[in-house]
Parts: sequence; C-alpha cells; structure tokens
Amino acid sequence: MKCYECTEQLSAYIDNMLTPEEQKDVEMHLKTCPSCQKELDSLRYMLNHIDSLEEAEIPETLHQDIMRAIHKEKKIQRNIIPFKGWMKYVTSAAAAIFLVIILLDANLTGIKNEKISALETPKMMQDEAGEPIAFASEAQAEDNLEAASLPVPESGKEDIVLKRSKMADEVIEEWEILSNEKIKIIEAIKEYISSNGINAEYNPDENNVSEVILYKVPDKEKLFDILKETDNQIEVSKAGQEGENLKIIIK
Amino acid sequence: MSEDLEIQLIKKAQSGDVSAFETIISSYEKVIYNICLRMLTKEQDAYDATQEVCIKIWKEIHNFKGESKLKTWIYRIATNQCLDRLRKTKNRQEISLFQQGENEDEEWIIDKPSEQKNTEQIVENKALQDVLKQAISELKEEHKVIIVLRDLNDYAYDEIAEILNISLGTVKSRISRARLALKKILEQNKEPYKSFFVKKGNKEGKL
Repeated sequence: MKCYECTEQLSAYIDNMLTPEEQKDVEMHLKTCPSCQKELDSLRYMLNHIDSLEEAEIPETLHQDIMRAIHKEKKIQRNIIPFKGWMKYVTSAAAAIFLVIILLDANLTGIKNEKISALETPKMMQDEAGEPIAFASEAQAEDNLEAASLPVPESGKEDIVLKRSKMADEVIEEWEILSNEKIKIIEAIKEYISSNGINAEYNPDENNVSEVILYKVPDKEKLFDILKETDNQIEVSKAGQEGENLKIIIK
Repeated sequence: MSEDLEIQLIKKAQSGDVSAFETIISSYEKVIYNICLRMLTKEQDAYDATQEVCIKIWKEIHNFKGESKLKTWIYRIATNQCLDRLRKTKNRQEISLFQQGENEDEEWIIDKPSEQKNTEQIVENKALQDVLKQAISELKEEHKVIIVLRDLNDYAYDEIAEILNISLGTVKSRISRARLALKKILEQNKEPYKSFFVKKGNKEGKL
C-alpha cells in the first residue's frame, strides 16, 4: 500500500468503516510507516477536539419566534381561497364605484409616492362610456345564478377579522389605483393571477369595498404595465412600507 | 420521543395542528440551530436560518410520507437551507469585491476572516475550540456540511448519504477529504492555527 492510499483510508479506518481486508492492509502499512502513523494520530487528535466542542444553547427567543412565524404562516394558508370565488363577488360589487388597487410591495420602479394619471382623451371616454354597464349586468346575472355557491356572509366576516389581524402584523406597501375600467382591470388581474399561479385572497367590507391580496407577486412592474395598458386613464397612488405581497381594493 | 408518538404528532401536524407541530419542532430546534450555527458561523444568520428551516418544515410537512426518518428529512431541509444561504452570501461577496476593484486605490483583502479573529495566544481548551470553529468556518461548503454532520452531529455514513442524497462511496471519500482539508487548515503556521498541533506536541510528545 502506498502512503497516499493509506491516507485516503484513514478516516474510514477511524470510523470502523473499512472491510476486514482493507483494515488489515491499513494496519500493515501503519506498522511500517511512521509518517502515516503520525497522520493517523493527528487526525484522531483533531477529531477528539471536535468531539469536545460544546453544543450551542438555543437563543431564548428563538422558539417563540419560530412559533410566531408558524402561526402567521397558518393564517396565511387559511386565508388563501380560490380566486374564482373572489371574482364572483367582485364582478357584482364592481358595478358600484371605483377600482382601487393597493399593491403591497415597493419594488415597482417608475412609480413613486405620487399620483400618476395618463392623459385623458375625450374620444376614448365616449367610446368606453357604455362598456362597464354592459359588463356589469352580464356579471350580475352570472353572479345571481351562482350565488348559492358563494360563501355564507358569516364566513365572509370571519375572513375580514382574520385578515385584518394578520395585516396589522405585516409590513405593507400600498398602491391605490383608480379606474373607470373596473371590469377590464379585474379581468387583467385575474389573468395575471392565473397565468403566474399566484395565491390570492379576498375581503369585502360593509362599505362595499373589496380587497384582494396577491401573495409573492413575481413581477409587480409587469403587473403595473398590464394594468396601465388595460386602462391608460388609471390613477395610482402609493402608501405604506415595503412588502412582498400585493393588495387590491375594489370599491 | 417514542416513534409511535412522533408518527401521531406528524399526522396531526399534517392536518394543520400547530401544537402538535410545536411538540415535534421543540425536540429538533436545538440540533437545527447547531447545524445552522456551524454551517453559517454567525449567530444572527443561524437564528434566521433556523426560523426559515422551521417554516419550511411546517409548509412541507404534508409532503412527508415517512419514507425516511423524520430526523433525516428535517436535517436535509436544514443542510440545504444553509447551503443555499452560503451560496447567496458567496455571490454577494464576489459582487462587493468587484465593486471595490473599480476603485484602484483600494487593495483587495481576500483572507480577511483569519486576520481578524483570534490573534491572541491560544492555550486553553476553550481557546482550542474557538480555533476549531474558526477552521470549520473556513472549509468550503461541501467539506463543511460533511464535518458538521459526521463529526459535530455524529451521523452514521448511511444517514449522511440519505440526508445529502449521495452514495455511500461518495460519503466515504468526502469524509476523508473534508477531514484532511480541516487538518490542513489547522496545520497552517499562522494565527490562530499555529498553536493547534503544537499543543499536542507539547502535551503528548508525539509531534
């Protein structure tokens, strides 16, 4: 056996992981090779010291922090409901007033803490004047048909409470978007959610305001671009702090 | 914790029972923290990583089918999380070196950690432990994970193979290489290492 072969086997030799034959070979070599014997001694000395390394105590607050994070995680999981259910609610509510979108993350570039209004053209306003009503009545009809499958009001209220308490814990950046093209905007968001496989939850309140929260939005800039393309008269304002998620309110 | 009890708790946790999960995680969090600490060196990093690992375990526990032991499954998540973090940190360091290089007046200091820490004479066992921790932190990640699992946590070769998803033969050669790499670091004739094997020589008269 050569010295380098022996050196390679020493660790397994120490751990008793060699076959009887290999072990015999190593022992034979060690008897005749002081330098490999010295190598073995050094390894053992080092390993004994590693063995005596004390296990670190877990920091006092760690367990508590872990459990807090788990409870938070559980709340998020409970709140995530299929987007379709949210859409059914939103399409009927959307006929009411404005669309407000609040995005919960800061990383959007190009939009600062100020309102952004695209130029208004009278022609477009005329063209689009009739559309929301047509959309809304269709949507309402569909909604009435499917009303039986909607969550009962009690469970809806529970969602509000859960979500509010969770929201209070979270660092949130808010985007508010006003648009006359509510239905189109909702459709665009819906499309964005399904094509990116995003988890979403909704939350209506008594003033007929609906919210949707999108979790872990991969590309908010792109979403913003989509919304702007959908309605170039869109108005966006931003508030709150940075976060990874995105919140949309529909009034 | 008995295996039966653990299986019951896993089932409860899988159906969303947080208190069952808490019982499980309580018996693993110390080991998870220690793996993270030895892998990542800094206490704050280990603290954050332990939380990330526990959240991942909670999110993934419904996928645990009992094909491996829970322990093995958990340590696999922990080691992978640490390796991920190490890779990210490495990328950041490379970027900052590059940015420094743009300013030609500044010199790159590449082995900063060994110059910074533990320059005092090391004699006591506690000090030797610090030297060892330092040396472990200097190992490359592939070697580090092996030393952490085998020599700090005492896992058997087959357990390591399962945790790292590599063959037994690979485990064997990696253990050998990782230990020799660690020994090489400790044999350096510079602080804080130069006293490590010297002490052995003085004490046991073998070197």
